[in-house]
Amino acid sequence: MRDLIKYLITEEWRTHTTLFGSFLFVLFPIIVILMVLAMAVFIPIINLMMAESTAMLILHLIIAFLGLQVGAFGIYGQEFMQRRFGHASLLSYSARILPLSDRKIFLAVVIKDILYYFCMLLMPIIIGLSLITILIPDVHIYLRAFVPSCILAFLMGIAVVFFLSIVFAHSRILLLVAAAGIGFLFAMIGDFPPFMFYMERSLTNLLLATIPSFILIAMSIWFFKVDERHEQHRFKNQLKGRKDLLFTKDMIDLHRSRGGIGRIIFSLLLPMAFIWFFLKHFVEYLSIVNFLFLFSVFLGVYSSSIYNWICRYDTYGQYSYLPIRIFSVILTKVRISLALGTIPIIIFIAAAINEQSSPLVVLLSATSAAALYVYGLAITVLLTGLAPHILFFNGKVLVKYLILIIPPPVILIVLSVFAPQYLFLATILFVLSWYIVRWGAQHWENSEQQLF
Amino acid sequence: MIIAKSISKSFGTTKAVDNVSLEVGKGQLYGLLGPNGSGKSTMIKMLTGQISPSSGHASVEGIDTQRDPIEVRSKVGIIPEQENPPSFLTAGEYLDFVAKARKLEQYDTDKWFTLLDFKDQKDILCKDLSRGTRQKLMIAQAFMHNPAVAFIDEPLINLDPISQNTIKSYIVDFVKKGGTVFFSTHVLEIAQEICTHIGILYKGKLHFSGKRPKGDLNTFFLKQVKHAGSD
Repeated sequence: MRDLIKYLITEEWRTHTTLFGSFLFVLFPIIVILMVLAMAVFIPIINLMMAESTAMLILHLIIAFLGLQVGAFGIYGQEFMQRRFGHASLLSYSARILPLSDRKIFLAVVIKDILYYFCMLLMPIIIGLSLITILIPDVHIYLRAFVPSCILAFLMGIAVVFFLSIVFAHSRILLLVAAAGIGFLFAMIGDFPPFMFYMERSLTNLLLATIPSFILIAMSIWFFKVDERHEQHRFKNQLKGRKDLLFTKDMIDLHRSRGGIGRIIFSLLLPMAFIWFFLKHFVEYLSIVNFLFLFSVFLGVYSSSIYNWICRYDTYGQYSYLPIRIFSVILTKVRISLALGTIPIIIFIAAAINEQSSPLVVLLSATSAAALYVYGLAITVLLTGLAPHILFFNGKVLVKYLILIIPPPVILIVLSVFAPQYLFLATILFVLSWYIVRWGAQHWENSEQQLF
Repeated sequence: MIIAKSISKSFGTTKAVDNVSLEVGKGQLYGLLGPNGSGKSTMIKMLTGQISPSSGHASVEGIDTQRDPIEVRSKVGIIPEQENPPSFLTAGEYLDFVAKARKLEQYDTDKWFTLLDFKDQKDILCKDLSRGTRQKLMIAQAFMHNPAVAFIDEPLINLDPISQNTIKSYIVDFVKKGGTVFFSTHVLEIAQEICTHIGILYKGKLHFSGKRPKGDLNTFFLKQVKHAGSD
C-alpha cells in the first residue's frame, strides 16, 4: 500500500512537471503564496464588509471547494490525460490489470490526493496566511486552529466528490438523492463543521468535522464500482449543408459535451453573483466609483474566460494532419467567444436595469465591459493559443497574463473617478485587441506543438 | 515523389532523427521499419510538414514541407499513430468535416463505411467508438480524397484480421493504380507481404533504403540492426 501511494505521488508529480515544466511547476506554490499575500490588500475592505468569523467561514468553504476540484480532477484525470497525451494512462487505471483490488487502489488515490495537494496547495495557502498574520497585526487567524480545520475542510471536499462519483457509477438518479442528502445533512448541522472546529476546538466539533468525511470515504470504498457504462450516443449529421465548418464543429462540441447550461451557471453566473455581492459592499465604502461601471469592468475581464470553454475540446494534434491552419482554428474560436458574449451582455442588461443608472453611465459601462472583454480574449489567445486550460497552470504564463490584463481595468477605474468623459478611450482596446488576436493566432500557427 | 535530404530532428538533447536522406518514387509502397522509438513517427511528421526538421530539407510532390505544410497536407493523406477523431462529432460527420476541410466538391462517405464494414456506426459519436473503428475512420479520412501520396503510421494497429486484410488489399490496389504509400511499422510480416521498398531506421539513423530484399525480411532486418548496433 505504501509503495502504491509512493508511485501514485511520483506519477502525479511527473504528470504536472511534464505538463508545465519542472521549474515552472515549482513556481506554482510560490504563486499561490503570492496570491494569498495579494489578498491582504482586501483585508481592510473585508473587515468593513463582514465580521471576522464570516470571513473565516468563507475561507473554509473556499478550501473545501478546492478539495472538490482536486477530487474531480482525480476522477476525470484519465479523460484529460487521453486528450492531452493520446495514449497516456494513469496508474490508478492501469493498476486494474495488476493483482490489486479496485478498493485498495481507490483508497491509495484518496490518500495520495490528500498528501500531494496538502503540500502543493494547502501548505502555500497556510504559509501565505501565516505571513499575512505577521505582516498585518489587525488580522487574527489562529493558525494552531486553522491548520487542522483547513485540512478537515479540504478533506470534506474530497470526500464529498469521491462519494458522489461512486454514487454516479451506480445510478444517476441516486446521485441526485445523495447530493440532496448531503445538503440536508449540512442543513441539519446548520454550519460548516471544520469551521465550527476552528471557532471552538471541542471534541464534539472535531468529531463533527471528521466523521462525515470518514463515513463518506468509507462508503465510497465499500460501494466502489467502476463506471462501466459504455453508452453509444447517436446523432443525426449536423455538418451536412453547413458552410462554416470550424464554427459549426465548435458549436456541436459545445452542445454535445452537455456542459453548456452547467458551465454558464458555475463558470459565469455564480462567480458574477459573488462579484456583485462583493462590489455592492465595496462601493458603500468607496462611493466615488459608480457601481454599474465597476461591475462592468469585472464582468468584461472575467467573461473573457468564455474562450477557455471553447478550447477544451481540441488539441493541436487533431488538426496537424489536415490542411487546416491553426490561425483559422483560433480565429473561429474568437468568433464563437464573441457570439457567446451575449451571455455577459444579458448579465449587463440585468445589472443596468437593476441599477437604473443614467444613459451615459450605461453607455460608458457597456463600452468598457465590451472593450475589456475583447482585450481579455486577445491576451488569452496570445499567451495560451488553443490550450488556455493547460497553460494557465503554467506559472510563467499566469504571471504574464496578470501583468498584461490588470493595467487597462485599473486605468479605466481611475479615469472613471477623475475624468469619466475619457472612458470612451476604452474603444482603443478594440483596435489593439484585433491586432493582438491576429498576432497571437499567427504566433501559434508558427509554433511547433509537440504535445497538445 | 518523396524526398528527404539530410534531415535531422532533435528534441532537447535527444536526437530523434539523425541526418536521414531518402527518396521514394511514384508507385512505390515504402515501408519504414524500425523498433519502437527509432524515429519512424518523427520522420513521418517531418515529411508531412507537421513538424519542421532541425536541419535538412524535405519535399513531397515537389512541395517544400517546411515552406508550405498546408499545401502538402492538402495533397497527401495522413494516418497519424496517436491522434483520434474529434470526440463530439459522429463518424459520418467526421468524414464530412475532413471532406470540407479538404474542399472536396464531390465525395462519397458511404463507400468507406461499406468498404470497412462499419456502416452501422455512422451516427455514433467518435468518442464512443471502439479503437478499431476509430482506426477505420482514420484510414477513411486519409484516402477519401484519393491522394497521390499517403503517409501511414502503424496502419493495421488495433484492427481485426478481416479489416487488416481489407486495408492491405486497398493499399496494394492504391499503389497499383499509381499511388505512393509511405508507411511505418515494426511488424515485419506486413512489410514482407506488401512493400516494394523498405528503409530501416535504427536509433534515428537510416541503415538501409532500397528495394525490399528477396528472402526472409526478418533475418535481413535483424542483421541490419545488429550491424548498426556494432557501429
